[in-house]
Amino acid sequence: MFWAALFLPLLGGLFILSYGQRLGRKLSVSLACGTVGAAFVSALLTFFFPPSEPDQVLFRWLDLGAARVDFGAWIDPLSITMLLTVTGVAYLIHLYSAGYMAEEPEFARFFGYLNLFVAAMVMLVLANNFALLLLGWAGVGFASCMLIGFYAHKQSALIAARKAFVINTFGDLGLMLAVFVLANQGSVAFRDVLQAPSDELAIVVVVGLLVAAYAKSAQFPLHTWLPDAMEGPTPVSALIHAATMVTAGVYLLARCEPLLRLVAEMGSLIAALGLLSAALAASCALAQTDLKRVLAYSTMSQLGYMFMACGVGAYGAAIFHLVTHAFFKALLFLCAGSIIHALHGEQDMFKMGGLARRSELAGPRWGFLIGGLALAGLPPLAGYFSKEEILTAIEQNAMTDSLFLGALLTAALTAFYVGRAYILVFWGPAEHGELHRPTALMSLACWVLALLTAGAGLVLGFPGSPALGAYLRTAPIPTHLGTGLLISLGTAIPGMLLAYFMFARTRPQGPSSAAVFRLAEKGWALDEVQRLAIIAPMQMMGRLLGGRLEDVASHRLPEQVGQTAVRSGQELGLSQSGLLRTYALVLLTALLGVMTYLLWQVRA
Amino acid sequence: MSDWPVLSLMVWAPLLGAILILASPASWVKGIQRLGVLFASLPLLLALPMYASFWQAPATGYRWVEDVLWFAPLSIHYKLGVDGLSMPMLLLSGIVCCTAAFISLQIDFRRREYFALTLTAMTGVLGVFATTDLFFMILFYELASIPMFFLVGIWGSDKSGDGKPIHRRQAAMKLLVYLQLGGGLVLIGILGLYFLSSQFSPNQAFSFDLEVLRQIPLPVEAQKILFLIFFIGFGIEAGLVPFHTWLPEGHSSAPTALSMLLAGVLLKMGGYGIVRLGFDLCPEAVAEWMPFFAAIAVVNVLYGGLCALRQTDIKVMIAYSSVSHMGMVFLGLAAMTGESRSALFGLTGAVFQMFSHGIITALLFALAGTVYHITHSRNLRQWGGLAARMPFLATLFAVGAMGSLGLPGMTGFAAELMVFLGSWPARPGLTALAICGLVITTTYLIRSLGYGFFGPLNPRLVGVRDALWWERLPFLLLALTTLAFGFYPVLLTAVTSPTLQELVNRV
Repeated sequence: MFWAALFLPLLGGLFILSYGQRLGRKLSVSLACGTVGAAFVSALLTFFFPPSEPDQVLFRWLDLGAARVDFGAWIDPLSITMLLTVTGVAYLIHLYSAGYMAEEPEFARFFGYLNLFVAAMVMLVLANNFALLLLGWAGVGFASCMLIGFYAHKQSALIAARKAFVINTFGDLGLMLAVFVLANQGSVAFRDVLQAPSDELAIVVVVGLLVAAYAKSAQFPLHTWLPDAMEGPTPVSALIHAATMVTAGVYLLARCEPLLRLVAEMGSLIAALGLLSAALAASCALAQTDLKRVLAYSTMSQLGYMFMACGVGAYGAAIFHLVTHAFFKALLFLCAGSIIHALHGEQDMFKMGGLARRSELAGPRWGFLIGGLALAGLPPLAGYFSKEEILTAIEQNAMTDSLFLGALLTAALTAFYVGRAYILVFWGPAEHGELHRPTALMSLACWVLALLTAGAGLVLGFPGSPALGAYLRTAPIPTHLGTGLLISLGTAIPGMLLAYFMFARTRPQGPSSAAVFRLAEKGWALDEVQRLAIIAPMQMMGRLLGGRLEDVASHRLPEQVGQTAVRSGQELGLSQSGLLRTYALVLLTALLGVMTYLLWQVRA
Repeated sequence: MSDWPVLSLMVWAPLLGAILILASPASWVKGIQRLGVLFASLPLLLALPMYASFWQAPATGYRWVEDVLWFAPLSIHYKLGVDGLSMPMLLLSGIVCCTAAFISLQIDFRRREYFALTLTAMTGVLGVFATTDLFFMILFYELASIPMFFLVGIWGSDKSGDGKPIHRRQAAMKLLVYLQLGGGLVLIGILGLYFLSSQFSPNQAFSFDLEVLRQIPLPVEAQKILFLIFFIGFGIEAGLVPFHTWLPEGHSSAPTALSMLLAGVLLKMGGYGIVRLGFDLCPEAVAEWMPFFAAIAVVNVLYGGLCALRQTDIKVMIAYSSVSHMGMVFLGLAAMTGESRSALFGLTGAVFQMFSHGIITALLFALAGTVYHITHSRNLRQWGGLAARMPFLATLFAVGAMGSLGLPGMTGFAAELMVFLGSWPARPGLTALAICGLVITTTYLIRSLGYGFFGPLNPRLVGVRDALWWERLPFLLLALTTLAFGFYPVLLTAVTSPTLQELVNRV
């Protein structure tokens, strides 16, 4: 039945892409939502009636003598958790999109690719071997690229799509590398690799997997595509660049835990890079002017937390945060989308303001508030419980205290930028004219997500009885409600207070013009560094080889050879003069030459 | 159907069509076009059941063998036969011939001569894969390459715009010279094989027959020289750097259908020949030369990719991408030096890559040609935003580009995965370099997609149309093939693996 979660959205997507425009808006959208809804139902069924054996083979996919790769699913608590999260959030976002994209003329392209994305993501979490995982891995990259570039008339969207695709391809190559090494050791199936991991070349495999995870999950230094990806429609940002695709890296690490355990020294590196990503992104988020880019950097920052958790070995906490983050970040994005929709596409927070007074936007406002508080980690919202678990795990397992301190500081920064965003958007004096009211479907999706954001933490991860942790069968992390509360309030309240004093008392008219802020807004200029270090040399090589060398090799050299042939033909032709005396002279000379040679041979 | 001379029928059907077309009056346009498409589709119709029979019972050895003594004094046989290596190539040729004929309906002058020449060339390419007699292999090769000269020279187009202008007459000449250079080297090699083998055969008999020749043990030194000759000769046909320069010029001038045949099938003759003559007949020379050619293969991958990066002419870009992709074929072949497991991976990957590249490049050239036919421009920068007016062609171009850059689930991925799997254990460094080539491939393909089909619509192109329904058939056939074989690669590997396994065991 779990196969329905893959094939229904896949077939639906292909059908809508081919015939959606002719089918009409209503039918296409219902088909898209229906298939994803059915996928969610099949995920629920899989949860309640899981197969007895995790390895479920459908057919043989690749066959080369001894090496064979099956097309099959690996159904265990981890993949079921992922499947539920992915299909559930995807279904809500599909519903939201039905309202958000109501006036989009090219709805078939949008919903077709959105469905294809869901199919690829399901493939990714269900795969029972690394080759099939790669199929989903690249599939989500492709669908993501097509959706980022959905507004094809905008040059910036196309450039962002290209950038995302190229960086993701780089990540795919890392995964491919891991596949090569594993395949040469005998098998790429999870059954073999994860249950009896081989020590040999494990470091290469792990580095390959990490490159893949870092590219897909937008972690430093492969993160630069994520802020630009906000060029896509907002539901796409919510689904792909917040709730599902970008978390694939965390899923990969959690899935490959047995492999990672073989190279224990990588753990500290993963944790340190996770902290770097989290802190770097948080610092960028607090200088953004574009609401969606704040959320994008915030996503990167929260993913950094999940990687930190993986680095210290707390995979259960990472997956817990992945799930709650999917809820509250999707909620934040969808509310942001409703606001942007209402303001006719305005994304600059400094041009918003005063929206708290507008009754049309009461829903998005409360949604944003709930999501924002969850992001800041306030109890009893979902974000609090999962972040607490990660922080506790870091405190207990990390090699150095600096990691824990860094994580705390980043938590305070998080509270600060989310407070800043809320104040800039909703408070203040600004006036707005006619507002687009969010449609019922949009509000419905937001309310369900708000409910999940409010309740999921209590249900899934209450200290002492972590339901999700027990389900995933991970080692329990002994969190304590009292210290947890203290830590949470100790970081979140100061951050929010600071935001209140800086932005609510006297509202600034525009972003700070200090150089450091401008640099942070531009993502610490890492884009430029990448351009200079990688893209410029590649372009230069292209110019040099394709322009200069190829000109010589393709035109000048062959022409030279050809001309030499023609010229020598002409000059040799001159000897055929027709003068009998010349011929006789040549004959005589040749005869003399041959005779001399023969005589000399005889004497020697 | 087993008693019928199916292979002869398949190979000669296009030529028969050519004769019928030449016999019909030039003004009978509809009839000529229908005859052309019909006779060019026959090989595919015959190849499908043959492929199915291989799929049901894969095994080594030739099937549907026809053997007629053609010229006794030189012991030349007219001998045809198909095995697990040539079957995918014949299917590929069948598909490309059929779709190329469909695309040829766009030709609007001197149709009679055009179809006659194209069909003749098709007989040539099919014959090369179907014959097991080396004399006929050369004969068919010439039959394929000579008409191409006229096709480029008469129905080709000149390239102006930025970069060096290319004139079709010159391009045709260059194409012919390079193809003949390659063919000439191969001929020298075959003659050497012919004379040498008689010295070492038990009864001193001369033979051009592949099955006879592979039984005769040649001295290692002779094998080394012959292998080098074959590799370079066929390498020229397959776009081996630095002998690749006929590709971009030839393609940019060639009419669409010819580009499809050139890139889709003719390039594959090179790779096929290397396996058939180089590996199979000179097995002991493989370990000597392949390490060297592995390095050239990676140069092919990177050099072709970097050159493609800066092209604005879409056809030139696809031509350079062919150079890059054929590098993958060479790299896969180079895995033959490794242990038998990775050798099988590499060899299967190379054959798969030939098939995949043939289908995908034919698709891309067909699309480029059709858009050119509609917009009268091949310059990517002058296209812009075509997706808004040509959603069908844009989607298909995206499919082709994704297949070409090796998106998992498409043939390109399966092929490249196997090539890298094969070459990784023996040459991790070179393989890693080639993997980097994939990033370059991604960059130029996505770039072409972005410039050509998305972005703001060029105001000059507001009135253009999408493909008509009958124009869509060849694109759909090619795209479905790449999706089917990519999603279920066993379709190909099951057919090839017994034959390739036997070959690996020989080397």
